[in-house]
Amino acid sequence: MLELKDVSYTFKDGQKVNPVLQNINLTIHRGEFVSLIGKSGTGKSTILKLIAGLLHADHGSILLDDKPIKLGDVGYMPQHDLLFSWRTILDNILLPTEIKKQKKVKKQEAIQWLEKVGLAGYEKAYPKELSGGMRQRVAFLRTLLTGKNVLLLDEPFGALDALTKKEMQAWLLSIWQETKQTVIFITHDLEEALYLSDRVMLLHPDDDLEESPIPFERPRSRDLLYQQDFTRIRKKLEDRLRHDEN
Amino acid sequence: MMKIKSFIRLYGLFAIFTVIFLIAMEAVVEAGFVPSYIIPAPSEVYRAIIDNLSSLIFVHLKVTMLELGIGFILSVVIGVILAVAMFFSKTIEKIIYPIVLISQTIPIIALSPIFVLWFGYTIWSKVAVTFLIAFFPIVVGCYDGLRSGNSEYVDLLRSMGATKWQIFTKFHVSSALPVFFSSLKLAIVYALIGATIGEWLGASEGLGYYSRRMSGQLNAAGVFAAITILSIAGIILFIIMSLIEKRLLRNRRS
Repeated sequence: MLELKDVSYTFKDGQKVNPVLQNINLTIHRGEFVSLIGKSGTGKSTILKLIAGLLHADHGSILLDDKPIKLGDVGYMPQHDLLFSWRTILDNILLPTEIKKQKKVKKQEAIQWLEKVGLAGYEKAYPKELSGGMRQRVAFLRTLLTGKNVLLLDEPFGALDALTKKEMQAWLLSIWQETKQTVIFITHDLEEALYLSDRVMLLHPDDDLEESPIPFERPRSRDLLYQQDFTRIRKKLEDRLRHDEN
Repeated sequence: MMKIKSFIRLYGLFAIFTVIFLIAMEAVVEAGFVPSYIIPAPSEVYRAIIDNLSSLIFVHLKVTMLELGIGFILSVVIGVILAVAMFFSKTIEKIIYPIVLISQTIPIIALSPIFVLWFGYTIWSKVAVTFLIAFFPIVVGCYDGLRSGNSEYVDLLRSMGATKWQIFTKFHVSSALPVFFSSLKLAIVYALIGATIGEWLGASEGLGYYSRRMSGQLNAAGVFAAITILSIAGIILFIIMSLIEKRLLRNRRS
């Protein structure tokens, strides 16, 4: 279980002081898929960076299974794929295991994963030879191979075209159903958020977190997107977001 | 076939210009417009090279290359050590960076008596000049290269629980290479200039010494012969450095 209790964070740069987050409370259960939405600049990415341990909260605490979070506790996937252009695909996804000094142990597993995500034969290729969707899959595998129970995904499909994005969503769901990790997912795409998540959290500019359960059964098919219940929740969230914009 | 074509496209105009220029020079000197001790005819320079080829290459060029080699390797080793130290410590950066800068504002010629005082007329006075000229671009290039790394990558590695040293070896070193190699290509050409100047200040061998001796004898063809060989050597060194760069960076995104 992941808990954020009264978390506040202020961005300071010399004289500039900008309170990004104030008194955020959030509990995420093991194996849950939670999406974080909200207009730009509300601090969604900051929340992920706080959970990853990259930033430190000024107040409040972040606990993972009742222990304060620290660097290396969760798998973090930033917005850009950030593949290392001088490393092969296999070496890129083995990076986290290399840092933990278990590269040899995980090599077979990594090769199996590459096959599973349709990248068989690309072990020795370099990132420049891959398309945007493939690169994103590699970046995701790298996050997965951290072996952590919590994965933080910051707009992983933001830069992809609509068709590739749909493929990637189906693909992510299938992997998540297999591994049952806890996922916190940032997106600007409401449809994506609803289709993937158990819960959608809308972060308002006043730092209020509004929760919407997404009660549809799994495994989900894309037909869901056209059901009345689905569009109703989507409409509601759209209105709430538009309200924030004004 | 493709290679030849692209080579012609790249360097064809330059080659044509050079040939026309050389022919014009030959004609001008031949016609007696310019005395041959001011500008020698290209054919004279060619003869000066061929007649003294073995001493030019196996005595003088060899010595110059040795000075350059030692000076360049020293400046790479010391330059990289300084750059890494500055990268890791703000304090060291604040002390060293101004010194590195100031070292470039001192005219090398003015330092030559000191070098001769310290090292005499041994190879080390030339190595010292080479080092002083070549090490500046290396320190700056290596340091800027190390700092150029995108901090998002650093955050990614930190989120995996990487240590400072792991972040340095797995990210900063590799991301610094393109800028570092640009500085190495500059430095190797500078080093050749350094070695030549070092020989002017006092030497008994080397292409710099040879060209000065020829100049003393009003032998313009001999001076130009040494310059031609130095220039070819410079081009070859630059090409070698570019090839190493290409090989090491071949997988990067363009």
